[in-house]
Amino acid sequence: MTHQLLATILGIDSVRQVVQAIVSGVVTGAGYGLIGAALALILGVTGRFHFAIGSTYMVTAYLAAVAADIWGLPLIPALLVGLAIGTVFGLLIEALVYHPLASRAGEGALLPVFVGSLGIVIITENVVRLIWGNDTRNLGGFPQHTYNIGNVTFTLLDVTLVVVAIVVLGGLSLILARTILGEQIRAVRGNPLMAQAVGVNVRRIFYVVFALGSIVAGIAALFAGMKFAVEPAMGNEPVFYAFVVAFVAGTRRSPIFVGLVGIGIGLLESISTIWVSENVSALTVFGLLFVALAVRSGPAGLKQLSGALSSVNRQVGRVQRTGGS
Amino acid sequence: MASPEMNGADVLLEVDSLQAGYGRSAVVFDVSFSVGRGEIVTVLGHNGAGKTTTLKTIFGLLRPLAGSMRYDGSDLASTTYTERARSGISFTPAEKFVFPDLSVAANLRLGALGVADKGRRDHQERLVHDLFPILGERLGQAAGTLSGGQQRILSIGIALMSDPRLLLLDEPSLGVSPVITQEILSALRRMADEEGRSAILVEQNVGYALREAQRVYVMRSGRTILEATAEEMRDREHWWDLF
Amino acid sequence: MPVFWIDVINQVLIFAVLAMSLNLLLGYAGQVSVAHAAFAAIGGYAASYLAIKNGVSVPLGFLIGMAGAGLVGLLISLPALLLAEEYVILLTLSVQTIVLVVITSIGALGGLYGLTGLPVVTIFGKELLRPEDWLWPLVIVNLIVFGILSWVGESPFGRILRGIRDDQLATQSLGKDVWVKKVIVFGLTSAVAGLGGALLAYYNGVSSPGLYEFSQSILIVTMVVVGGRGNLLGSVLGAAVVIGAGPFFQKVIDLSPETSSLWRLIAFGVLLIGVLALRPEGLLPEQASLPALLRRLRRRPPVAGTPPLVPAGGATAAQPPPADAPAIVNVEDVRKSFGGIHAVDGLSFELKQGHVTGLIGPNGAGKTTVFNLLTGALTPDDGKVELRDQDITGWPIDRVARSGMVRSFQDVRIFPNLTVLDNVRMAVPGQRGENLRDLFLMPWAVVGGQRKAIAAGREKLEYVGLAEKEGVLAGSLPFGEQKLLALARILAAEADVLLLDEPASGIDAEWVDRMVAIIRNLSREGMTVCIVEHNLHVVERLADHIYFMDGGKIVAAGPMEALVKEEHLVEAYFGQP
Repeated sequence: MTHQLLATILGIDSVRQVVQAIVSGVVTGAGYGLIGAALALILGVTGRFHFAIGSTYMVTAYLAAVAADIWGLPLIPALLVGLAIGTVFGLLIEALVYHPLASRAGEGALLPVFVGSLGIVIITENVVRLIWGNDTRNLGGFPQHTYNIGNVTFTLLDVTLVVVAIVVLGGLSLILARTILGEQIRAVRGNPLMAQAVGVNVRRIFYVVFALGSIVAGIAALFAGMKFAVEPAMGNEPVFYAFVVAFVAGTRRSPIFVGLVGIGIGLLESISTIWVSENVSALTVFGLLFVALAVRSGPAGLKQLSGALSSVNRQVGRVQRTGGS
Repeated sequence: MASPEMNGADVLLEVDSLQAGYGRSAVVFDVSFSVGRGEIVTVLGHNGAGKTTTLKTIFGLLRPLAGSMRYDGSDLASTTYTERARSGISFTPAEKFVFPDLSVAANLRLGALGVADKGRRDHQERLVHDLFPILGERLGQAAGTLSGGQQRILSIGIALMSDPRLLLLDEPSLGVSPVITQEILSALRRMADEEGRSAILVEQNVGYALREAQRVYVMRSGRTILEATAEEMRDREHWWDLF
Repeated sequence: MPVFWIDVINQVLIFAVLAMSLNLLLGYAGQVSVAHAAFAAIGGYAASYLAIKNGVSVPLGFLIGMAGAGLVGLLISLPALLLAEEYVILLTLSVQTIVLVVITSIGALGGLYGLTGLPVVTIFGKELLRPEDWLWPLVIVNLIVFGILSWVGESPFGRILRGIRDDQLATQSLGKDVWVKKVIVFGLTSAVAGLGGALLAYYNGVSSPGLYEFSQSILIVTMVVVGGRGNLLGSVLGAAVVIGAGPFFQKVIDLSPETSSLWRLIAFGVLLIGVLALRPEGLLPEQASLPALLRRLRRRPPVAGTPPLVPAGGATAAQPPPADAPAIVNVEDVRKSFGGIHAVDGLSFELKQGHVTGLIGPNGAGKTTVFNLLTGALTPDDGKVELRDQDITGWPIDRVARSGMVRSFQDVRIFPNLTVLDNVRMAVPGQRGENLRDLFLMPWAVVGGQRKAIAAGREKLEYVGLAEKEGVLAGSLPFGEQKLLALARILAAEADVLLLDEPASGIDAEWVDRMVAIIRNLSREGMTVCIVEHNLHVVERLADHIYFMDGGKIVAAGPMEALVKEEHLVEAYFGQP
C-alpha cells in the first residue's frame, strides 16, 4: 500500500517507468559524456571555445552515412571513414581558423575564435546540404536486437554505446595518466609556460588534442546516427549538452569523470520526463547550467553584488534628493 | 662585451645589442653580454629592468626586435624554442616553475623530453638524484604539494634532466630559504666545474648572485650598465647606484 | 522598385534595430551575448499575445513587450556581472535555450506554430498592409533607434561602457561605477531587442518560434561583427549584407531559392571568418563612426609649437616642500594575509601633502599589495586607512578614486581602442551624461559638460606633452607615451593623491627623465605623490621621504643618504654578500 501511495505522490506510474527512465538516461548520458569529455579536453588544453565541435560531430556521422549509402562500403569501414574525415576536419579547423585568429588577437582571442567557430558551423552545415541535400539518412547495418527485462526495453546498440563510452573514456583517461604523450598534454593544460620551457611543442599538442577530441565526439555521433538518424543539423543540439557537461564537470578533470557527469545529466533529463514533457526536461538541463553559472559568482560575488545594489541606492537617493531638478 | 680572458672558442653564448619586448614595444633596449663554457654569469638588476624579457628572448619565447644572439657559433634567432631546448639550452621561470598536478617523477621525465638517448637520460637522472636526494624521496608526490624550496629544487632538477649546456635561471633564490639557495648554487657550481655546464642566473639578490658566479652584468631600465668580475662587485663601496 | 526588394529592405531595417542594439551590448560594452533573439522573442510574443488575446492596442503592446524584454535583460545581467567572458556566453546560451523552450511549451502561446491572427498595424489612420506601406515607418523607427543609441553610445555613459570593455579594473580605478552601468546596458539593449522582436512578429503576421531561434541570435552577432563593433552604422551595413545576401544570390546570380539560400549561408560563414581574419574591427571600424568623424571635423587642431609646460630633462626641485605638511593619507597597522602568507603585516605610514614619498624594498616585500589595500582593490584583514582624516578602510575602488586618491598600474592599462583624448576625458569626474537620467532628461547639460570635459582633458594632455596625439588610438602609442597617457588620465580624475606603481619601469632613460620631471612638477603644485619603484636612481631623484619595506612592514624611513648607510637594509635589499 505504501508503495502505491508513494508512487501516487511522486506521480510515478510504476517502478518500471522509473527503471526505463534510468536506462534511457544512462544511454543518452553516455553520449553526452563522450562529447562532453571531448570538449572538456579541448577547452582545458587549448582554451579554444570550440563551438564547431558540433560540426565535426555531424561530419563524422554524415560522411559515414555517405560512405555506406553512396560509396557502398560495409558498416565498419564506413564508420572508420567517417571518423577519419571528421578528425581531419577538426585538425583543419584548428590549423586554418583557430590558430591564425588566436595568434592575431593575442589576449582578446576568445571572441574571434568563438565567432570564427560560428562561421564554421554555418559553412559546414550548408556545404553538406549543398552537396548531399537535405535528406535524413540512416546509418544502418548494426545488428538489431531488443532486450526486454521486466518490460524495460533497450537495444544491443544501447548496450554497445554504454560499453564503448566506458572503454573509450577509460582509455583516454589512461592515455592522459600513464603515457608520455598524456603527460605532455597534462603539462600544457596545467602550466603552458613551463611546458614550453621543457621544449614541448605546444602547437603539436594542440593538434593531438583536437584529433583526440574529434574522434571521441565522432564516436558519439556515429552511435547517434545509428540509433536515430543522420542529418545536416544533427550537431546543433549536442553542442549545447557538451558545453553543459564540460562546464559542470570542469575542464581539468579526467575524461572518465566527465563521462560520469554526462551520465548524470542524461539521468536528470530522462527522469524528469516522468513528470514533464521532453521539451521541458531539456529546460532542467539548461536551468542547471544557469544556476551553476549564477552560483559560480559565489560569496565574493555576493559582496560585489551588494556593492552594486548599494550604489543603485545611492543613485536613487541622489535623484530623490535633487528632486529631479 | 666579452671577458678579456676568454678567447673565441670558449664563448658559448654571445648577445649583442639585443632589443626585445612584447608586441612592438621594447622593454629591453640594448643588452650585451657573453657566457663562456663552464662559466656562471649573473645578470643583476632591479625589478622591471628587463632581465626576464632577456632570458625569454634567448630561450626563444620572444622574438628579438634588433641585435644578435649567437650560441655555439650559430645564430639563435632562426631557431624555435623547441630546437633550442634540444640543442642544450634550458629555461627555468621565476614563478610557476613546476607542473603542480603531475608527480615529481613525471616532472623530471618531462624535463628529459628532448633527450633521445636513453643512456643519457639515465645518466642525467642519476645526476639529479645525486645532487638533490630529496627528490628521490618524493617521486610519487604531486609537485604542487611540495614546499616552496623543494619545488625550486625540482625546477633545477627538471632543467638538468635535459642535459643542458646552458641553463637560464630566472630568480632561483626568490622566496627560497638561504639553505636551499646555497644547495642550488653549490649544485650549479659543481655542474659548471665538473661538467662544463654554463648558467645565466638572473637575480635581484646581490648576495646570492655573487656567491658562485664568476662574472656579473648589471641591467637597469633595459640596458646593461656594468660588467664586472664577482670580486670587483664584492669590493664595491655600495650597490645602491646600480639599481 | 519591385516589391521583392522593398520587402528585403524592410527586413534589413528590422534586423538593423536588432543589430544596433546588440552592438551597444557587444561592441561597446564588450558583453558577448548569444541571447539577443530570445529577448526579441519576449518582446514579440508579449506584444502579440496582448493584442490578440487582450485587445491591447498595438503601440501599447509594443511598449509592454519592450518593458518585459528589458526587465528580463536586467535580471540576466545580475549573474553576468561577475562572470568572465566565456561564462557570459554560456549564460546567454542557456537563456536563449530556456526562453525558446518555455515559449514553445506554453500552449497559450501557440506552441511550435506561434501566435497567428495578429491585427493590422495602423499609423495615423493608414493601415500597413503591403511592404511599401511599411517602408517609411521602418526607416523612421531606424532613425529614432539610431539616434537614441548613438546618443547613448557616444556619450560619457558610452565611453564608460567602452572602458568596461577595454579594461574594467582601470575604469573602476578612475572612479566609475561599473556594476550599475552593466545592468543598465543589458536592460536597455534587451528592451530595444524586444522592439525588434515585435516588429518581426507584426511584419511577418505571426509570432512564431522560428523567428527567434538560436540561429537568429548567431545571425545578429554576425551582423555586428561583420559590420563593425562599436559602430552603429556598421550594424545597419552588417544587416544589409547578411539579409541582402540571400536575395542577391537568388535574383542577381539567378540561383533557385533553395540553392541560393544555401550559398548565401556558406558565403556568410566565409565572410565572417574572412572579416575576423583580415579586418577584425569590421567593415566600419569604431573610429569611423559617424559621430566620431563629425567630432574630428569640428575639433580645432591643437596649436603647433606651444612648448609643453614641463621642461624636458631632469628638473630639480627649487625648494623642498615643508616638513610639517599635514598627513593626507594615514595607514595604521594594516594587515593582509593570503592563505597563511602575511603579505602585509602591521604596516603603518603616512603620506604628507605635497611630498613625494618613495616606497622601496626587495621583491615580495608587499609594495603593490599596499597600493591595492589603499585604493580598495583589496580589503585589509585588520587596521585602518584614512584619507584626509576620513576612514576609508574597505571602501570599493571607485569610491576611493572619487574621494581623491587614484593609482596608476605597473602594466599601464590604457584603453587601447579609445583615442588618447577619450582615454583622458573619461576620467573627468562628475560628468553629466554618465547616467541615463541626464542623457534623456537634460541633454543640453550633457553637451555642455562634454565641452568642459574635452577642455580639461586637453589641458592634462598638454601637461604631459601628448597634446598633438589627441586623436590617435591609444593602443598604437609606444609604451613610453602610454605611460604618460596613463598619468594624464589620473590627473584628469582630479585626484590630489597619486599612487604611482613603477612609473619608470619598462621605458628608456629619456622617457624616465620626462616622467621624473612631470612628477617633480606635480608635487611642487601641491599634489601628494607616492611611488613604488625598483629603480633606486629614480627614487633618489624624486623622493622627499622614503619608506623601506621588508616582509610586509616598514622597517626604516628617511632620506636616501641615511638609508644607504644602514647595514641591515643593504642586507635586506641586496642579500648577504
